[in-house]
Amino acid sequence: MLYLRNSLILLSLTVIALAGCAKPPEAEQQAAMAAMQQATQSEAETYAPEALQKAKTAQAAFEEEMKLQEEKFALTRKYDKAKTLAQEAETAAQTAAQQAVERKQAMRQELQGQIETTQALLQEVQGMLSSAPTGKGSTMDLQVMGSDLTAASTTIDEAQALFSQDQLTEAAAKLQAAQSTIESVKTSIEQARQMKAGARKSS
Amino acid sequence: MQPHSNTRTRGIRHKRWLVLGLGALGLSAGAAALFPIVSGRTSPPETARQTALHAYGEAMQRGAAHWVPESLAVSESLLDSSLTEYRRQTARFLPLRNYEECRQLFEQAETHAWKTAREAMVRHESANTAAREQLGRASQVLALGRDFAVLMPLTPQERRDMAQAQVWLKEAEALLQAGSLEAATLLGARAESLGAQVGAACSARAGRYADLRLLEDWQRLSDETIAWSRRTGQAAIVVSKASHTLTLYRGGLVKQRFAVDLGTNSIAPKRMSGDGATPEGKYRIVAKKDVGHSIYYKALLLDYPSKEDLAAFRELRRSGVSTTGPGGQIEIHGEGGRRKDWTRGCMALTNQEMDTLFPAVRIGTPVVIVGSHGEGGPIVDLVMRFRETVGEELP
Repeated sequence: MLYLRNSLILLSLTVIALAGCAKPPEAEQQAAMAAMQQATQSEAETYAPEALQKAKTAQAAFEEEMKLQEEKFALTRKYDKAKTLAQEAETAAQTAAQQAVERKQAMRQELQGQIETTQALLQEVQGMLSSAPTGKGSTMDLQVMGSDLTAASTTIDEAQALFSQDQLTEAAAKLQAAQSTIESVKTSIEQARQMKAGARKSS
Repeated sequence: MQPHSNTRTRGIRHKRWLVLGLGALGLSAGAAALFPIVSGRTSPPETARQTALHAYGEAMQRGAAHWVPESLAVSESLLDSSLTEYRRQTARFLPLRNYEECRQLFEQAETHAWKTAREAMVRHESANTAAREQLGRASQVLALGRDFAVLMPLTPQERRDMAQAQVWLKEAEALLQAGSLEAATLLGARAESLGAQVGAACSARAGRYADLRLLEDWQRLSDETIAWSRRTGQAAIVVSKASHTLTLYRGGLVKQRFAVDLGTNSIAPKRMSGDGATPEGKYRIVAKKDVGHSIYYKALLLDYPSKEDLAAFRELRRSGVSTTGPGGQIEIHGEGGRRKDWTRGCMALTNQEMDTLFPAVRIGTPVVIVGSHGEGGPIVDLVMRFRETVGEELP
């Protein structure tokens, strides 16, 4: 009788121990989900797509492992692997979020600087254009360059609006276009000046 | 004792049979249980599972969600079914597991995922090609627009449109570089459309050089002047605006031919002061300005405006156009050779060419300025190139 009682106690303890070990890693799961949400909010899709993809893969592996365990008989479930995968997913999502924030911040700073540089360049070239020698033969060229600068100026304004709406990729494309236009006008004015200087020397 | 001994022997025999039977049953049960394990049916298809997951990952990485969402949905569904079956089998008691169907499902999922990945790659590649082609077309049309702007004046609106189209093209190039293929294609198309609009307007204006009625009039004017030169043996000048040439005739024969720079609005006939156009018609040299008497080295002043020019000017004023006058001081002068139209309506040669022309003519020498002899020239060539590029019908 004593042997039977001891055996029952031991079995009960084993069952309790097993049941205790097989608790789903809810805290890790919550943490991983929160980190994924954070990554999405940080626009990791745009600014850290590779890191986000890694996090998504880890998350999918975790979910798959959870499903696998849940379909097993309760006493045979093991959540060690699921826990590790959840932690991996959380870390990967945190990395993606951090990378996105850093990259976006860097891009914002770069664009802010680029807006200022482009505006300064525009003012400089507008000045060059207004002081360019006018007269027979250059009127048309000056008008064309003036139109180019007007278009570039409008594009900078559009880029600024996009920048303030956080649409950084589109803003960057507009700024690049404006900058390139202004630079080509600048080159044309400089070439014209050089030609004029050369003509003066030769005469 | 004997009956008891017999009974005992029978009992032992029965027991032996029972043990043997149970043993055989146990062995059969063991063999039945082991067979699925030994046959491999219960081994989880890990390789198939991993390769299916890998193929799906590849499809995702190649942008299948963007380029082929329908195909990706099928891949996902197949993968889900495979994983569900995998879990179902894994949850079963080992000897009862059978992964055969699961393996097949994984193989199907893998095959489809690779197909999806390939499709995504092809779509991406074709979008990339389409974007590049679009930008190439836009670039070609805008280059022609720039050439128009060099050879003829654009209206302020046309200049603004050209500048805008150029900026759009550059923006589209930046978007293409950033991988935003659809946005780049869209913007490239807008740039092309705006550039084509400006080009079409220029092409329509320059089309007067191919107008048969005008060509006949211009040919008659030239023929009359050359015939006069032949009859009198004297010098005569014929200027063709389309080919940008000034030809000196003597005795009806070509003596010299020079390239000539014209007014900024060279396509149009001169109608009023400040329009930048070079006049068309029959004129005469009324003054010869030697070095020191002209700011453009040497100059031959023409008797513009003629009676016809004044009549056209009055007609213009009657139509309500506000203008200060028909203009004047149209000359053939030096400081040219710039290979572009830059004057306010005069015809400019290089100083060396003026040295050749100046003594060959006198006051009263006829100067005929025509739009074209149907001989082509840069603007006509450009119109042809533009029409060919945008697929515009030739008249």
